[in-house]
Amino acid sequence: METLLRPSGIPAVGELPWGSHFCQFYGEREDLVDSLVPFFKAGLENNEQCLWVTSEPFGADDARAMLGAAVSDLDERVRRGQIEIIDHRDWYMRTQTRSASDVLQGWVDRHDRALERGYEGLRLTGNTYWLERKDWRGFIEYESRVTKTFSGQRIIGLCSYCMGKCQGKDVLDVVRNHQFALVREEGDWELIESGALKVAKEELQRLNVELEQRVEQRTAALENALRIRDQFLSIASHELKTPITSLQLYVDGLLRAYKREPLPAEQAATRLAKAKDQCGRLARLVNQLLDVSRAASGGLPLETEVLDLSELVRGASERCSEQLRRAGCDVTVEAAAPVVGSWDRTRLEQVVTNLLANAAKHADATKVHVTVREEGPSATLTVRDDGRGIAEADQERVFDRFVQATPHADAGGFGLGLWIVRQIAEAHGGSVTLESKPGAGATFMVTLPRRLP
Amino acid sequence: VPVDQDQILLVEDDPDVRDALEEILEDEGYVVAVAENGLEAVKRLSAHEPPAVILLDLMMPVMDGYEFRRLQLADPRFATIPVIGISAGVLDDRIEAMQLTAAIKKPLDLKALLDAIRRCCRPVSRA
Repeated sequence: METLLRPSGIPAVGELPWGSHFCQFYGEREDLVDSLVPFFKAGLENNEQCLWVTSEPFGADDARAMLGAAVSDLDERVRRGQIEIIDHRDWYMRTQTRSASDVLQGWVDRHDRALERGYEGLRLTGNTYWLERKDWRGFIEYESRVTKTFSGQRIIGLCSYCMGKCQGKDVLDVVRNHQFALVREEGDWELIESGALKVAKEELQRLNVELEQRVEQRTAALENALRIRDQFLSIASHELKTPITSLQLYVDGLLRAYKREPLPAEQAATRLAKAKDQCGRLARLVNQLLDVSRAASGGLPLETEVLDLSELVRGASERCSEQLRRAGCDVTVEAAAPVVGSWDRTRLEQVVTNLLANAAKHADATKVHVTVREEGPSATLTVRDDGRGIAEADQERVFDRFVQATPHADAGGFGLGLWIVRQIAEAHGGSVTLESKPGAGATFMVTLPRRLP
Repeated sequence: VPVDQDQILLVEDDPDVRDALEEILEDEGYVVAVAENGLEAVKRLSAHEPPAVILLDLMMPVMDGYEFRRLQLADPRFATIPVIGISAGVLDDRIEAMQLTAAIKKPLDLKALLDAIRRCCRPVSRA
């Protein structure tokens, strides 16, 4: 995540979040060169605005020469104003008469200008070598407010303290008022950080990993959605083209026949009826597509009336019997006793039709058994077949949109049938479940409360 | 052409498209046999005199047009029967290997289809 962590340039420190305010204790001039040169090199290379306030043991000219040895186009960057290297005396002159609040506000203003000019943020260092003992208390109070000021801003601040000028108590003050301290002992830099900071950094690291995982998961889900959409578009165009093709052929055929000689009325009527059927087929497909957008944008509207589910299922099954017979399925309906409830007639007919159409496709010419029962406050509609069944891994998936057991195979349709069944059941406050074992048939059960909740 | 010999073998899974095409081709005076997928077409070829042309839908269940054509080309008895491909899908690079006489997209341009058929055989009669 590019914006969260910045390279500090100092190997012992590694990457830092914006808002970091830390200190270093140096002994020799070399210590400063070792830390500040790579610190600013990293800032410059990562498009940050930099401010280096120098102090003994070296001045602005020394600093510029040393950084110039590491950053080849430093002059150009200075000219552009990406980095300012200021001697502490000049800096002190600018700030000495100002209150701590003004100085802090000065940092924030500088940060705002850096962002306005297109930099990622502000990286700065100050040196306290010039501090007189009498100023110490005020200065430490100022430092204590810096951490709070920097927090939430795109600022990284490194304060340099000369080890030789700090007394024991001072070291404690300094460490206390920074997030962590960098010290050099026997040549190696070492990081001294508070327990709280350690925990926070670990937390940040963990959140980073989690965020990356989430991004990966979301990306995979989006890619999958795109793949399903593309597959759907290909299926949809095939499905829509087929009735358009037959409609056009019936009409073309009639026209050609008429051009030769007038057709007998009965023959013409039969052929026109076939053309009309294709219009109905197209209308049903278009309605299915409309159902998808209706259901996706907040549920299917229902027009309920008091009706007998048994009667409805007997009628709808009768209308599907021809389709099932062609598929080699023998249908039995067990719905003698009236089961009365308040439901949307057209939608429930669609449920029966879709479940039976699904059986015609997948029941492998076995027996299909339809049952309606009253179960206390609910009604159940069961459609059972003895076909090939559905593998457990696919059982939830069959209710998804645009899913077909075998795309482009014997299925046909948009792969929306069972999805619409679920949408209709849920719109009634009910549910649909599937019980199946591969090779041992499938049972779809729709449960509907008899009164809308 | 003996009257009992099929002139056109129409291989199409959609019953309505199949029915409409059969009706038109018979109106035009052709003798038409139908099969609802590649496997049925293979069975039909093996049991009857070869037709003059095959109208082949490419996307079908059980055995699609691509697989049918592959089997047909591999069988010297049927390899020379010309095939006109019809498809509602995208005609992709697999088309090349199929060596089709013509490939026509759905919805069908009936004139183009009849022209392509006429190049393979003439109707025996006008119904």
